[in-house]
Amino acid sequence: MPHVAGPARPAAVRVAIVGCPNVGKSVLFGRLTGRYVSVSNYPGTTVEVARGLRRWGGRTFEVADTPGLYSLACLTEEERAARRLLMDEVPDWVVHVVDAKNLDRMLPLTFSLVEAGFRVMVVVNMLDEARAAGLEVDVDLLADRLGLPVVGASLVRGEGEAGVREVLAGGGARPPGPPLVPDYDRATEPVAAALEALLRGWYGLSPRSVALLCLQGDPEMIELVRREEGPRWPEIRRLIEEAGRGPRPVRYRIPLAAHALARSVAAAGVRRIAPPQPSAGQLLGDLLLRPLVGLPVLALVVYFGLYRFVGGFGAGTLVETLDRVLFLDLLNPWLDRTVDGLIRSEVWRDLLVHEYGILTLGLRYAVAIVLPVVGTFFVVFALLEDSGYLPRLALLVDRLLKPLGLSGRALIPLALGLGCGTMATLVTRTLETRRERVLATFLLALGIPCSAQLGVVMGVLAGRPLALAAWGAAVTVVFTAAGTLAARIVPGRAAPFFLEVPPLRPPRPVNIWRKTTARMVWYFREVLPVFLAASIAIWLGRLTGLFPVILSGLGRVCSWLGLPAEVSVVFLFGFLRRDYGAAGLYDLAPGLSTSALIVASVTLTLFVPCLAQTVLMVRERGLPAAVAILTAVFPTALAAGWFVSRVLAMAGAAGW
Amino acid sequence: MPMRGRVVTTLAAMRPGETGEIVAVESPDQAGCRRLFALGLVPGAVVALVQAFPSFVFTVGRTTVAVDAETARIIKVLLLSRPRSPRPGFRQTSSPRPRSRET
Repeated sequence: MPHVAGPARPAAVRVAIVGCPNVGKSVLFGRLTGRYVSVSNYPGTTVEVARGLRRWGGRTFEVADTPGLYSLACLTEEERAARRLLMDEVPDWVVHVVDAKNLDRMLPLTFSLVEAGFRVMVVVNMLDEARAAGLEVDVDLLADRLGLPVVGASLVRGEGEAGVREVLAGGGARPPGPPLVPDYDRATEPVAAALEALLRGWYGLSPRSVALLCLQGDPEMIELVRREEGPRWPEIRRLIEEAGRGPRPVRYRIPLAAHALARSVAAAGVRRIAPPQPSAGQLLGDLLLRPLVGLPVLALVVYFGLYRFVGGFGAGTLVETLDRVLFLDLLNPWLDRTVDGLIRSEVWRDLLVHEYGILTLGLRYAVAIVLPVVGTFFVVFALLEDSGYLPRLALLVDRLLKPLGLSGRALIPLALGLGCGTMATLVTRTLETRRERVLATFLLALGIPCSAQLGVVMGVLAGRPLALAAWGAAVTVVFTAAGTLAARIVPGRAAPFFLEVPPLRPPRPVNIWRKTTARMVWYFREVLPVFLAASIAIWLGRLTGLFPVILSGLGRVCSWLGLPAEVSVVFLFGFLRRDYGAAGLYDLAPGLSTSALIVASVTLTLFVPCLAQTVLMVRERGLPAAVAILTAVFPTALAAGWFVSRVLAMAGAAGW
Repeated sequence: MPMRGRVVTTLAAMRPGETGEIVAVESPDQAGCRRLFALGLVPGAVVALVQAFPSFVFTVGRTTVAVDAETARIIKVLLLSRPRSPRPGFRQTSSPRPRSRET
């Protein structure tokens, strides 16, 4: 066992919460620590590890909420992140949260965690949903069979929280006997034992577990072993290769043995006490799976959710009120006067206020133009997420995304990209192949307008439905064409699609509120500094004379696109921050013709992503991939803008 | 009309409303196999197909899973009988073929 949690240990007790996506890990984390992480009815939304510190039972606990983990033999980046946390930190307790309705497919991970040497407790969550489905779970019997502390819970209602705390604090009944692990068959055990005996390195997991993972062909673990074991590697490699041979290879038998044992434990611990009653939500959920119902519902969601609520209410009413009334009429004149009165130097005054000041421009854009739009989008997204609608949409669009080299799973980051491309780039981690992640990152950088852009474009083109349609058509065409082309260029196989479809649940207002605020806080932590930095950059640019030079250069690009020169300011801002540029367009809109607005909207939508997104692209995909993406995006955006301006001119719509 | 005895086919060939027992998952790559296992698609598990278009949607245990046609083709199933009381909304074929009961 790689660790012992001594009772006299002065440091905090380190607890890691693990489990499949969508079983209630984040809810348990929130209950234990009082902190809130975004919880949603969609597989795979915790992409970064959240941590919290809390005292109870006279001890301090440091709790980590890990990304979804199906099995210790990992496949996605987020799973690897969860496993890496377990290996690097070797927590004192691993709390495995499982869904009471699906014990048979969750328990194999419990066995793997025990094999890996962790001190495991099992939280059988969603007992309320299991009861509603006509199932009765015998928690004591499960504890007996598993040889582990088991707590029954309905965490959303707060049931079971106390039990978890008690076990972690050292209370609760001690389970009899050693923890249950699968016996592998005669073909497997000797190979596993031989490989285990060859391991000398430190992995944070027991040698037994490392051996089993290698035999299952886990590439990351094999690479780690290759580096650690040096002289013993040839022999280890021979064993691993042997495990992949034969009609029923060892690498296939290992998971099957675990699943068979899990089924037998689940069969003993779960009883059907009533026939399943399909609920209204279930029937509606099944209906939404059908294209004839699902696609019209999608149209309604887009119209009411995006067009009316985000575009009309967020980008229209809210922006109008905040911008005109709060900033332009009240705050900015007052700030100008106050700063002018306080500071003598013209140069320093310009940094803070006036046309490009941090306060009058940076803050105003962030609070008055971007905040309402992003906020309303996050509300809509949270509603869709919490209800379980998104996975249903994902399976409907899988076929449509296939030509772009993506699977239906990519819908989630792409849809989130309509809110914030930076956040969405982070969420592409939930995709399985590197190829799919690169393609999704590319499309997010090119053809998915973020909510600030979307809102401003809708606001600018509002009342001109033809122009809005032209913009939509142009962006869709470029998105599809570039995506199809990229799918042919980027090497690799098509991503397979498989997705768990969670039950449809009525969205809970508390969840919507928390999720929206959590995202807004994240967004503001990312946005505000960049906004202010952009203001400073612009101030420096003007001061050094660099700004006018760049602007005149961009002005030439603008005239090539048939746009007035002042739009170049929008492009420059868009370079620093995409939504910043969109907000600038909003300012210029009254003076521009409709055709110029279409060209500017199309170009700006496709134009390079904002600074924050670029930084994240480099971090997540690596510098070469990020550079390649940006190199593709820049000319595509300009070419598309030029093409649209030509088409409009030919159609006799120039100056319309 | 020939009786369909122990018919082994793939999930992609099942019709909505039919049930089958998984006999093998024949993924060309180990990773795909492991993921399907993790979703509960292991030999011995019983699946019921809900719909076949635009994606294959089925229940396995108490989980609903959606996969594309390529994935559905690598899941080999032994056809079982139709459920006695299909949930409403299933598309029924006009003349159900006779089929021997399997266990």
